[in-house]
Amino acid sequence: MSDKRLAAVEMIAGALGCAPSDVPPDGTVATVPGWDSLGHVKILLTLETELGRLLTPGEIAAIRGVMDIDRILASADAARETSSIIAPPGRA
Amino acid sequence: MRIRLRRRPLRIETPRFRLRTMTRRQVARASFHWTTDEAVMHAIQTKAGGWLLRRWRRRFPRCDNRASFCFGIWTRSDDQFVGYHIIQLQRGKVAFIGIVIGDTNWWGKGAAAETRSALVDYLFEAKGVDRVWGTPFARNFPSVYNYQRLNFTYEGTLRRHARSDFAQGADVLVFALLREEWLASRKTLKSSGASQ
Repeated sequence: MSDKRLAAVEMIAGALGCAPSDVPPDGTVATVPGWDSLGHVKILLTLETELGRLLTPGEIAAIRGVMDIDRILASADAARETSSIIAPPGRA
Repeated sequence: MRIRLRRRPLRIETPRFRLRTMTRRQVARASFHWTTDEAVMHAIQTKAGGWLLRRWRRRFPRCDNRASFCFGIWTRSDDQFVGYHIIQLQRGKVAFIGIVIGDTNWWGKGAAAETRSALVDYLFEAKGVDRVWGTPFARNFPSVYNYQRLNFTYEGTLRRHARSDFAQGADVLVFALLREEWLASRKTLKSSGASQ
């Protein structure tokens, strides 16, 4: 399991108030216990806090499971790394 | 003379709910008390409070039970009105759907998935529809969840497409389900409890 996947699992577990072991890495809205409509709200709001921005409509529509959140976290990390590379010295 | 065809209410039952068609007047009356509920009204991008019954009624389509339906949702255990589905049959065997669960005690308890699942069955089997689609507000996460839960496919975003009392137009997502997709996923959904 990648670190980011682990981060996604921990984030979901934290939002749902369950143990990370209850969230399978390939879990989806249909299989993760407690991932109901209100749980979905908690997960998406937690993710927005983590990212420091609102999710785009496309991202909102794409989140159906742990892997989708993992993907969003990974691309946010990649974007952060890219911006730190291209930022001028002292402003990274 | 204009003759109005009165049709008998249609009824559908699920393990926990009874669905019955309503007139526009009936659904407006039954749901009017939700207009003061901030949480319910915010979910439909509308300000709470200050509504007149007449104005509230105009938000609903005229339901003729032929091309336009409003299915009220009542609990089987104590006959409480908890929400409603709006369905509009469109050309080309297409059905447009929408839902409001106004009784917040039922939020997060699978009411939307359970009743929508029965309605989608009804649309594909009894009405011969080939495609069912809906357009939840992008920021209405529970509503988006309910489309995903029933394996609707995301087809795109309509930007600032819908009227909103809180923003300059609200983005809506297009979700659709085709008959064969429904037939393929129905067994899995039943075993996972989405249709109870």
